[in-house]
Amino acid sequence: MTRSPTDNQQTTAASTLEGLAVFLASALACLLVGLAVWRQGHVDWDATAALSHAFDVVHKEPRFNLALIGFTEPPLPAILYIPFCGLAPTLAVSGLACPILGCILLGTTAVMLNGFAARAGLPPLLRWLLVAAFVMHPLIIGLGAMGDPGIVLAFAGAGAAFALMRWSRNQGFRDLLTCSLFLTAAVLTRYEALWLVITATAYVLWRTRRAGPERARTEGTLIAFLLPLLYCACVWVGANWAIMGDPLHFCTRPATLGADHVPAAGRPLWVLSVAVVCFPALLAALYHEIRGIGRRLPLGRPAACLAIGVASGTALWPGLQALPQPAWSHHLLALSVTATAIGFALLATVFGFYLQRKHEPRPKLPMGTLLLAIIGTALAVWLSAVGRAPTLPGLPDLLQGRSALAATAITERKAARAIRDNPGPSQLAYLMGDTAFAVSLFTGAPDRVIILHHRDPGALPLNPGDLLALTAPAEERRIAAALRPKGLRVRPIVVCESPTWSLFRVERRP
Amino acid sequence: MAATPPPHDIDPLRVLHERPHECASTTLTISQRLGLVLAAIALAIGLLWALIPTLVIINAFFIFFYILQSVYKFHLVWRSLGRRAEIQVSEAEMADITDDELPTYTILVPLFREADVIGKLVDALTRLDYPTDKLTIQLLLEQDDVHTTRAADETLLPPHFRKIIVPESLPRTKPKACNWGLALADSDLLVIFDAEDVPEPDQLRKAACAFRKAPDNVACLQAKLNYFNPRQNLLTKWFTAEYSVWFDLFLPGLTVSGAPIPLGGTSNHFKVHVLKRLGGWDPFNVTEDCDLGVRLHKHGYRTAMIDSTTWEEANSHFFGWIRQRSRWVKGYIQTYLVHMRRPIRLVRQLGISGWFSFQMTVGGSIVCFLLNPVYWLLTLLWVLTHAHLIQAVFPTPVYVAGVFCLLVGNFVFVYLNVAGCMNRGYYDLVKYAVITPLYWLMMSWAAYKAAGQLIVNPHYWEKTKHGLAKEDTEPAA
Repeated sequence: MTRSPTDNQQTTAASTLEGLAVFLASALACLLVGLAVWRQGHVDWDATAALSHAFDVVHKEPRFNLALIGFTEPPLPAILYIPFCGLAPTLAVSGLACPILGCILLGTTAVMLNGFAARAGLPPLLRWLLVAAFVMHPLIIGLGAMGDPGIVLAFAGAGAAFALMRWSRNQGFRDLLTCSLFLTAAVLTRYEALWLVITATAYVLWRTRRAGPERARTEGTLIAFLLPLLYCACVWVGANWAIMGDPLHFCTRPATLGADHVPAAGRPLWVLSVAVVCFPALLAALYHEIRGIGRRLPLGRPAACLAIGVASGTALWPGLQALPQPAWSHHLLALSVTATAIGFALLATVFGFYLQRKHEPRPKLPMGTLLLAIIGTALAVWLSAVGRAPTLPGLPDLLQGRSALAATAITERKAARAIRDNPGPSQLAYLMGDTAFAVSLFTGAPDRVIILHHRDPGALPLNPGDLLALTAPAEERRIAAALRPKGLRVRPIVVCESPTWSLFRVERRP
Repeated sequence: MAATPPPHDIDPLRVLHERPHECASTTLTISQRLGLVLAAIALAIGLLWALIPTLVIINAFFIFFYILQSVYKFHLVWRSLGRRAEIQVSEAEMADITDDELPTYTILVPLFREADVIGKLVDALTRLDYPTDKLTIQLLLEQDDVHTTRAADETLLPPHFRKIIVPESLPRTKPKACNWGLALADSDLLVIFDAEDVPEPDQLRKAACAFRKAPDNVACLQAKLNYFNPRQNLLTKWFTAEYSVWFDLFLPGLTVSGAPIPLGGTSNHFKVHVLKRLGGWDPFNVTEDCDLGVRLHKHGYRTAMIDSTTWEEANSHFFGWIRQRSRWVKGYIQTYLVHMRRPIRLVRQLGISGWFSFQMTVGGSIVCFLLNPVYWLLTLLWVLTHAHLIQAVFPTPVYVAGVFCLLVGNFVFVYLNVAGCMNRGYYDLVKYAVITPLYWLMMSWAAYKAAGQLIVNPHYWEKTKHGLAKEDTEPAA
């Protein structure tokens, strides 16, 4: 038995067996959905890009080369895929590595939530229901099933929230370090998680000052808290500088801003609508934990602060989310994942607060909490109905491979197969297209593939016998025109019916 | 009080005479010398016949050893942060035991050239909260140390203090002197303090209570050590951070995992009958404490930690620190060589996990100190030259492991010092803990000095000068 974080009630920590059961059940559910999606031939482009980078690190050159990890997106998702690429390349090439990693992370997050709910005072049945609702949340299971970096963010964000809540109660150094490590992982997954870091740092500062006015204590605590993050940031900047020649290369991502489709004046409402749709009870839970500020310190207040911090930061500066595609699913991913993961944690603290007091005069649920719960739910339903907020797919859709993040990769696989089946004398294949990384991965031979990034066709290093894979007919015409003066031409080998990925052979003109 | 000459039948070299296989009088046994020669020949053949593969194998071995050590130490510290590993003794439990029920205690204080600190020492020991009729404090004075003896004579000593003159003989070491004191001790329990030590007043009572609560096979209790001059200069700050990790986090983690404990040189509380059964300390080992911790474990006894601190003086002088640290490393090498004379038997005596812990804790410290400069140099050469030989010696798996050590392992060790400062409440020292890689350079310097001295003068005791603390800081409560 352990002392409850809520006042003087005693709670029971979840047993190891229970944790294992939660992990297996959650991971299995996620894997089933992931396999259903995979069988449809669908992929998640972010996950596939990370997997492709990881595969390049291990297999593109004779030696393991971490410099190929990719510097456009944060590195952690790709790093997590490296063991798959090294130990089970077939899983990587087939794309199965994505749902497998996703189910592992989702399972682990579920175990953390279950353990936290136990310590918050929820009885077993209630906390299992809570965990089941979390796992089956369309956003969460969708991310997990696809192996999207969002599931890494959910894992890291949830872990940081749990650790911060524990630290806020007991001021234990181990919890402070745990929170710091999770936040570092979050930022290395999505840069938008910087809002989590800023908010958490502010909370640590406030909480430390509240515990004691000594300046040295505040200074030491902040250094200890921020050191892992600062160290990783320095290593990342150093790697950018050493390999890409620009220490801030990672900041130069395409600036297609999801929320920039919304005028600045409407961003707060847009942020609110996304958060509420993802977790309708969020407003109520936030209110319950934040109210009475200064009078008492509820268990969930640190997590509530994190959620508010992410939402506020996103509303004020969506420019941190430079995303290549303005698809709804990429909109405000850090916010939606954080709101969902933290929302479930807050539910655990709120329920635990009341359940732990069943032997006392039961406190009344604040009217504000109840009202906000009703308003939040109604708002979520209305926004979804009128199409003013992202629509989350239902479970039947998920099982049929219609995950919100899923995209078909059939033509990419066809192109990869064609490349494998039609090797040229140089054994090299040149690819031009937005999803060239996926084709490279699916060939299983990245050392034979060279991805060209919109170069001048005249400068392409093509020789007779080389393979050329293109996505657009216009590209073929440009290249053919550029090759004509060199006495070369391109002959189609495989033309996909969909308007993507056709394979050509470079030949001498007769 | 007149000094009491010891009986003529005292043998301060009992370990040598009764357990020569556990004595560091010989640095290397014949079989160890033979083994080293054979290893050197094998290495030479390997280098001549297959230079790169041989270097790869050696490199791979050490890098994976580094990883193991990093992970192991982090694991132990993590466990300590999660739970209190010391035997907890409450005020109520101490009050429950009357003075009559307390066991008799002997305190050994080996002194050599400590004339300057005798006064403070007596003050500190007089403040111990323990019935004086059950306490005997032995000041172990070297026969030819005239100044310290005179200072002791001039100091007004309470009745329970005794001056013991240790006859001049080789080796001139602290453990030999302690063996004299042990032979004269007829108490139930015994503890060693150094000349500059300021133990918490209730430490003896706490230890007595802890022995009552502990299992019977716990023959030793180690109190935590820390410094009363942590902020004197950068060196003392680093030293304090290191000690905070070692005694507050690392050793408790070892006790939780049931591993042999390399004892600190002071504030070790023993059951006298067990200590006498083992023959006392090895007089030829310059880290007799570490050696005794391993011997206790080999013979089925265990060491636990108590939550009590003895405050010492951190060496604030650069070369003084180098000398002190070189003695410690030399002693660790001696301890490692002694107990690895019969490696198979050692596995049986310590168990697999204990044996592994011994390799990581004692062996690993030596290896890391000696190899760190080699790898730092290799990294620098690689950055500057991209030499093909260096690349060849790091094939992909070794390269990946090496990068892990460089980026993760080093950070882990830095952060352990941060953790030590935070755990102890030394928040202002956290920022200095961040730059401990500079401190590692000093450790490696001391390690190479130790390795050389082990060959030319293995039993020489580098005496630490005390009384240099400028900060007149009372130990924190």
